[in-house]
Amino acid sequence: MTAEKFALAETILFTAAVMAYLIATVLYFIFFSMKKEWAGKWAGQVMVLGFAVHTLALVVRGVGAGRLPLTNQYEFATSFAWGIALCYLFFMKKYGFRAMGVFVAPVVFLIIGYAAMQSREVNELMPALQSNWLSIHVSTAIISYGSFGVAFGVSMLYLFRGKMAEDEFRRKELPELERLDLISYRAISLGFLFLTLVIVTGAIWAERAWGRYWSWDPKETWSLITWIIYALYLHMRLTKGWRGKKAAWFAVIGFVCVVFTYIGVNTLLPGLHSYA
Amino acid sequence: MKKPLWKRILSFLHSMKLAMILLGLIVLACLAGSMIVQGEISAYYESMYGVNIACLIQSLQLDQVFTCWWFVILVVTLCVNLLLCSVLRLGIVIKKCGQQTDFRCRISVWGPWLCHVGMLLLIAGFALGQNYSLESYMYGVPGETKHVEGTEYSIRINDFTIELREDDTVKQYTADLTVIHEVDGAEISGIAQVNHPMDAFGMRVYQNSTGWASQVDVYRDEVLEDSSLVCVGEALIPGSMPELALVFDKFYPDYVETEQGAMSKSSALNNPCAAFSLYYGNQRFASKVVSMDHKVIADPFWFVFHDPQPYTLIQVVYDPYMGIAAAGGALMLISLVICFYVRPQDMRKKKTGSSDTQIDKNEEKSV
Repeated sequence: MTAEKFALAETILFTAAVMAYLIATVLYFIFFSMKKEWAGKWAGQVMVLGFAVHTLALVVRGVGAGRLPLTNQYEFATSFAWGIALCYLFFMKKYGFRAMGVFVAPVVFLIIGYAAMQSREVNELMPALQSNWLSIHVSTAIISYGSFGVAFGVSMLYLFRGKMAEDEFRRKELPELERLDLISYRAISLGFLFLTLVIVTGAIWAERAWGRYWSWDPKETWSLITWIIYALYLHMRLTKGWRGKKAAWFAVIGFVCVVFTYIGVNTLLPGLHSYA
Repeated sequence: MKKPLWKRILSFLHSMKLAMILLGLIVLACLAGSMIVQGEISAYYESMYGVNIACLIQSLQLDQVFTCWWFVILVVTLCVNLLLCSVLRLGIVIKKCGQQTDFRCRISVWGPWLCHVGMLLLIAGFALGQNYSLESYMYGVPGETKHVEGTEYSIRINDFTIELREDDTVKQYTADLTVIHEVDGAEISGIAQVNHPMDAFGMRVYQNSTGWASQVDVYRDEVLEDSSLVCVGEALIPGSMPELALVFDKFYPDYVETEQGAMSKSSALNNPCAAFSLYYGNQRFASKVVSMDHKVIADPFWFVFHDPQPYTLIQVVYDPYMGIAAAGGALMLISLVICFYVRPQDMRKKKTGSSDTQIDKNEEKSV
């Protein structure tokens, strides 16, 4: 297959994934705002379909480029969205409630939408990016950010659930507040472990590529800020017993930091990570 | 009865409250340090933010957040907090560990303590490295030997190659180097590439960057006075007239004149040209692009550019404390796995017959 054919196949699959996530977002909206159960069932199915097509798009991209698609704005944005979808499906399977997607699907759609606005050109890697440590660094970032994305979605659900009237839909489709709080904590624990791994592997790569494992580059600094925010969350939760709304708000703020670390730093602050 | 003052101070110093305050302040400092460009001169901040805000930035040292005294105090206080906390809790952790019968339970009680120790090691290793490690840069072309500042070593550049792809993008920079101990003459040879540094005598040698250099001959009254290798961005000052300076502004390996101005068609040496400026007493009086071997006349001098070649920028780092930081990072990762995923065995057994939420809460308490 030629490079053009790979590009065409990827474009078709990527567009299909964007459409699937958009449809899932709309269906989840109908499910949650109009309390239509059929929409929730379909939304879950469409999310799975979107994830499958998205996975294929990434595989085609990887085969066409001859490397893991993790090295520029487009590739990381699409992988970031894929990571959130993966973590969503994992947590949905583990805890078994589809309403989790109400706030996760829009995040996946927005991030893949951001990817769609980036250049999809396949470029050869500059020498600094030709490293296995980079692949490990970015792969762990995808899982970490994905878990934080799920924690954000679940925490948003927590904040909304408290405002909803007690009815059949709420009893059937939404777990108890305590359970939502716990799922958010679980997702943050996983994300925090992987974020630590992201920082450590990034430091190893930086040491080999630039001779310094930590240089207070804006991306590094923001990943540290995000790490401290979640560390504060975990400490407050485990020692001061922070639960409920406070913890949910912390999870939301943490995810805002995650998004800024990825998109804000790249677009607003100059630094060594300008390519990613 | 009220506790004595020293006990109250000690109690505050190892408290969670202080740790939370310090982490919050460090976050604010990091925000400032990432939003405000660091390490620029006064004029930069004045042009960016105006005189009053620039003054405020500099008086609060927000232009050098990560090295200023108040940031160091924050981090040192955090370390004191972590150290006291770790020391005082060690006994409790050992006691708890002794009370457990199951191996996994014994391991799990160490999680948070190990995480704090790991963080301490990481900060200590980084701080020692920042203050006592050596970092030196040198540039040169094949055949040159350069002294490594602050050491008894020099580096000979045996060869330097730039591997290009078909589309003219760089695939890899490779420097063939020999590190020489100047006292006993011991040598270690090796290759330094981007992402693949070379290790020699406990130092790490990096292929950091590259650029173009050209040999420049200086003639005065038609007599060769000097011949030096000049890199782009450098100035050549004739010894017999220090008021005169030739600055090598830019190099075009494959020069072509376009509507957008001068540019290079490729990185191959097809039509090498040098852009230069001439200064007399800090006043620029000429600026031009010339081909190689062309005479640049600034009476009574001539300058001739010839034999252009890429130079390599070599970075040498000696950081014996990096291992401490690495051990700290590894310990933190292991401890987080212990914290979140090594669950006490007896709680797992309780899963049968009780609600999942109840078990989850128990597991959470173990963290």
